Amino acid sequence: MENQDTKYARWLNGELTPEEQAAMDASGELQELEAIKKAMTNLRLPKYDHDAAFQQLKEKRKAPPKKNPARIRRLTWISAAASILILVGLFYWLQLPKVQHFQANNGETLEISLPNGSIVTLNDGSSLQYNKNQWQQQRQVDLQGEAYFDVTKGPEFSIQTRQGTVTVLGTQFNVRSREEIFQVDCYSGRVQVARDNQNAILTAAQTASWQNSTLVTDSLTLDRPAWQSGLAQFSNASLKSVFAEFERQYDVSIIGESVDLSSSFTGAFRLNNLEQGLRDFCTPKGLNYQINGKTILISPKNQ
Amino acid sequence: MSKPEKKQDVCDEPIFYGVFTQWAEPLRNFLYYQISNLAEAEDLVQDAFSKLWENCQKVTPEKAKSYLFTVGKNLMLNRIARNKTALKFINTNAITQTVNETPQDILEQNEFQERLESAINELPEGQKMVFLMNRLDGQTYKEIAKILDISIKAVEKRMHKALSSLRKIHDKV
Repeated sequence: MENQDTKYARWLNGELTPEEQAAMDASGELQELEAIKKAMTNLRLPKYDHDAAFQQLKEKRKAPPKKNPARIRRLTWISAAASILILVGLFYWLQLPKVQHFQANNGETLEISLPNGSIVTLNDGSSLQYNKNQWQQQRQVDLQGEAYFDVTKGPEFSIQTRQGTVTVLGTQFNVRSREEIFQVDCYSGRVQVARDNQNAILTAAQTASWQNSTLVTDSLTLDRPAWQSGLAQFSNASLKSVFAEFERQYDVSIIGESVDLSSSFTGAFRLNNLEQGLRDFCTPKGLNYQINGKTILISPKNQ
Repeated sequence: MSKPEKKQDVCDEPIFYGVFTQWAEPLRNFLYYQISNLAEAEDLVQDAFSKLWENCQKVTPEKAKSYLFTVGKNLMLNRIARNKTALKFINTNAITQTVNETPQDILEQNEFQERLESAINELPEGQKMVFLMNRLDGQTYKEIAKILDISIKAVEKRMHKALSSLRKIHDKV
């Protein structure tokens, strides 16, 4: 028979004749090839981070060379070309991303380079955005959730959260703005924290948090955020916010049965093992857990 | 109505970005299949797109892909170090195993998957590229033929040979 040397290639494309197909089925070739085809759908290459790569590219490349003005010569072309250019320009202007938005989904963290070389690592279930067009005038980002900042020296840099504003001059610090928790940990440099007319200036190894409507400062024991070492840490946090953090980290939902959600927790849970992580806060709080797929039922032990 | 003289080029940011999101990853994979070094492949992608940007006026969006793959190929050939380590894949099967499979099933599946990966790595480079560009990047035989500068028939032959070799992993059970 002809074309024997391309048979399998044509099979993949569904281009075999019925006779060829039948012969391959009978010889068992088809089943073996199907198994390979199926197994291939399980294979991936490492993920390609488009956003980071494009950002890197933009920093490297120069502005495009000036267009040749002699291109549009005749007057008749000008009106036609101009109207098309205006339409195309308007179309792209409307699409031009002015606000840069980044989102770390549940169970993942995301590293972002800002235009001034500062690096932000978003913890999961957090998002950050900034206005690219205004960046030169105002270095300001909006944060929802939690992120670690490594800010290069330069003009004032500020982070707006739902609860308060953090202003810095080149430093490393962590901002946590989740549920009722608002906490800023400063690892080097100086950070100013403001909320409801209260102000605190933090230096290295200091932390500020919102407790009972007061901005309280305290000293820090870790030299980097706990979540970057694989722990979610809490001090005097409600069980409600511990549950919420757990749901984000493991992408599960927690149902608390007769659990006092306002009861406070000081400690940490592990981020790399669901069951150990559960035990980390359930054991000290005297709680039982039951895992049903993506749902976790938590109830007091003595029931 | 007459068309404007100048064809659309890729100098506009949104068009350039569109080209990037469409071709950066297949280009990275194409380079990775040959140099087996992910970080270097990603560097080459950066270089190829920088070149495209410098010459953006000369390239239409339709021609961008072939431009990028040609530049990428040349940049790669200029590199001295061409290490021959195995390609690393991510087996999504290991992550998404369903509950009703027995441990025995899972073990066998993973073993099959491992044998397949090493068999792919043992394929001659020409076959390996055709196979992976088609299976992992979804490029058609025609598109592959154009990038590798060979006939469609030659692509099909390589594909057939690759599959014939891979079939043998069934014998080893």
